[in-house]
Amino acid sequence: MGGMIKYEWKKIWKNRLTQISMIGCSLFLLFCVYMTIIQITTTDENGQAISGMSAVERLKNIQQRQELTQDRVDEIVNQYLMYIHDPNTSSNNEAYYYLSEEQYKKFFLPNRDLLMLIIEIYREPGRGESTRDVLERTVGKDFRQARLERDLKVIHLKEELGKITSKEADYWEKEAEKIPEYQYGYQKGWQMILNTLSWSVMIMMIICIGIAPIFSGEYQSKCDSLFLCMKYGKSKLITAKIITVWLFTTCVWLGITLSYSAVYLGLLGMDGADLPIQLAYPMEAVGYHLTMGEAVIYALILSYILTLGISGITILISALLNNTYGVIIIMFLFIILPTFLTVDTGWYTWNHIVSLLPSKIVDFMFPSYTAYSIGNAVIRWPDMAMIVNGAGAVLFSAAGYWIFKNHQVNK
Amino acid sequence: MQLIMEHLSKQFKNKIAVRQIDAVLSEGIYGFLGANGAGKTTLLQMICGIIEPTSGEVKVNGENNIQMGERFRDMLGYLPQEFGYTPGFTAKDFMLYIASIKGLEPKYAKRKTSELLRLVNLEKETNSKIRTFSGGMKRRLGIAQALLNDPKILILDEPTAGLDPKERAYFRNIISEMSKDKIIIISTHIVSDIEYISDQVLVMKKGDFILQGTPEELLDKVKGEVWSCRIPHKKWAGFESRYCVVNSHVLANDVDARIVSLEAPIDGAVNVEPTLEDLYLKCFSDEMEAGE
Repeated sequence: MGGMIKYEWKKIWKNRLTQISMIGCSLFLLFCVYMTIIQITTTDENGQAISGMSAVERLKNIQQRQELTQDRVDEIVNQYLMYIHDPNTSSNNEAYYYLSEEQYKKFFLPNRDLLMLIIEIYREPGRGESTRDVLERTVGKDFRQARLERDLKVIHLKEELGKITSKEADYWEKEAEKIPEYQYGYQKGWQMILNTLSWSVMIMMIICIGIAPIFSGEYQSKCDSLFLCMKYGKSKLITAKIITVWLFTTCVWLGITLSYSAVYLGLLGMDGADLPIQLAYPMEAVGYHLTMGEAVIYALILSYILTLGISGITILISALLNNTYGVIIIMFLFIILPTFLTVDTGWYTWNHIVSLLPSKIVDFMFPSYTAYSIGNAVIRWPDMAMIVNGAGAVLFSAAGYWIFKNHQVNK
Repeated sequence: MQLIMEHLSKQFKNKIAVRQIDAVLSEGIYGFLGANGAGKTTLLQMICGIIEPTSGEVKVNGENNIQMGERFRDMLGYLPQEFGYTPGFTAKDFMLYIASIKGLEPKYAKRKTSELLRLVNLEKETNSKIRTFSGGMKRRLGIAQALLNDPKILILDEPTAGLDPKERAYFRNIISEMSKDKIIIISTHIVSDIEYISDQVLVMKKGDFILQGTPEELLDKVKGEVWSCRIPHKKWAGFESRYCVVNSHVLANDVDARIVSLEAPIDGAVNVEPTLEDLYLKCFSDEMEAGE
């Protein structure tokens, strides 16, 4: 078996198309990593805009670790209100959040994430208040309670719109109650990795290119008649092919994902792994009770299992078609087309089915409250996607095995 | 060992490729002779178990080949008509890959690979990529892979396609030397490939064996029917449609022809010793006429 896996592995990597797509993808993702880092911006002590690694260093200094206790939140809000009320530091310009341009650049921009986190918790959904009104109305109000009320309002709104059922709403309410007092601090490295979830689609595509010929290539090259009459041609060879596909998927996924994650953590720092995931989405309610580090691992496992799901489908299609390019075209359509389908329309069933497609990882973010009710259990979107795609990977691979084993060469 | 074909048939939609074939093969070399489309490849694929018969079955020592599974495939060596290979592999990689699918021990596989590549004169090309090989080299590699597991049943479909006359002669010698304790089936439409090395020749036409026997037995069937004659140019025009012409050589005053006919085609025709090619052409002359 080991020998067969070795040669199947070699076969995949000897394919020119695999080599070209792998190099192309790596270069593109390298470019993407570079672009996302140089797009990190903030302002320095003088209010001058800075970007890239200078901005990263500045953010590390500004975003000091702190617990957002009631006293600390009140202190921040009062400081902001003081600037808004002081004629020397205020303006009527809503774009500058009622601060003078200088104060906006010196105070607001460097602290933007922290301020937005607080403001958006106090802001009532759908009320349309200005930032100044929100803070003046809520100054001194219990921050933790406000966060819980905001989350519950979002959950009930989604329930009213029919996006979640009452059972799912109950589940999310209980989850919201579990979220502890916020810790704040610098966590850019982890946040950037979370923002790259949609890159999984590109990884899925290059994996498809690599594994598309796994069975169809044998039909196309007429190797099927040779292999199927060899001792292990209808047994261990097929198992070796499927194991190789999974190995290839794992190695490519790990290689690419770990590389760019390591680059992000190396350049931006590993600080903030224990900070809450809510910091990554300061403008939105997040029902997941996870730290940044946990969220990144959770999201990467999701990405990996969805990629395995794609590999499983590719195995099946490859066993069905006798043309490798046909397999690639079908798989590309299967990956790309669903990314254009919205998961936010009114129809609950449609949204929930489409959300399980591997490429819908592009739409997954932790602020999502999508969940699945099965009997008495409520399963969160990523958990359900992992179950379905993991099972799909196994079932489709088994189907591919069966089809190749029973393949009639003269068909 | 016996390889038995019992009422073996294969139908593709409306076309019957193989019809109700019965045959019992034991150790020796068998030449399956037939025109293109006679059903030879389909029959071989059924014997190999890579297509299912519409009816009937193939048995080895009384056991169904499909049900034998790995035990059957372990005793099989097969060179398909269209030999598939992995273009990016070297000859050595490909042989070792095939050896792993045939379940050979790595050490034995390496030794056997070197030995067989030497046998088929690909020793110098061991580390060359197959995509750079000529047609004949690919065919020789195909023969080598079929021999890797020292098969008890060796099935070669058009093994000499693409080989030059010297390579074909060499191939015949290799096969002849390894025929002991083996059932070797060579399917071809090139009579000379099997004429001198086959123990039995089975002539296949329209999905059925129409003749079967040793080369000598088959030659007896056309004994006295093969003529060498000289035909004047003005009489030659009708000959090709009326007789089975094996050879013709246009000379200055007449045509020197070799003809298969129950009676002398012309006065002065001389009865000559028949060959399997004469028999083949006699069997398939109707198809050739239809083709024309």
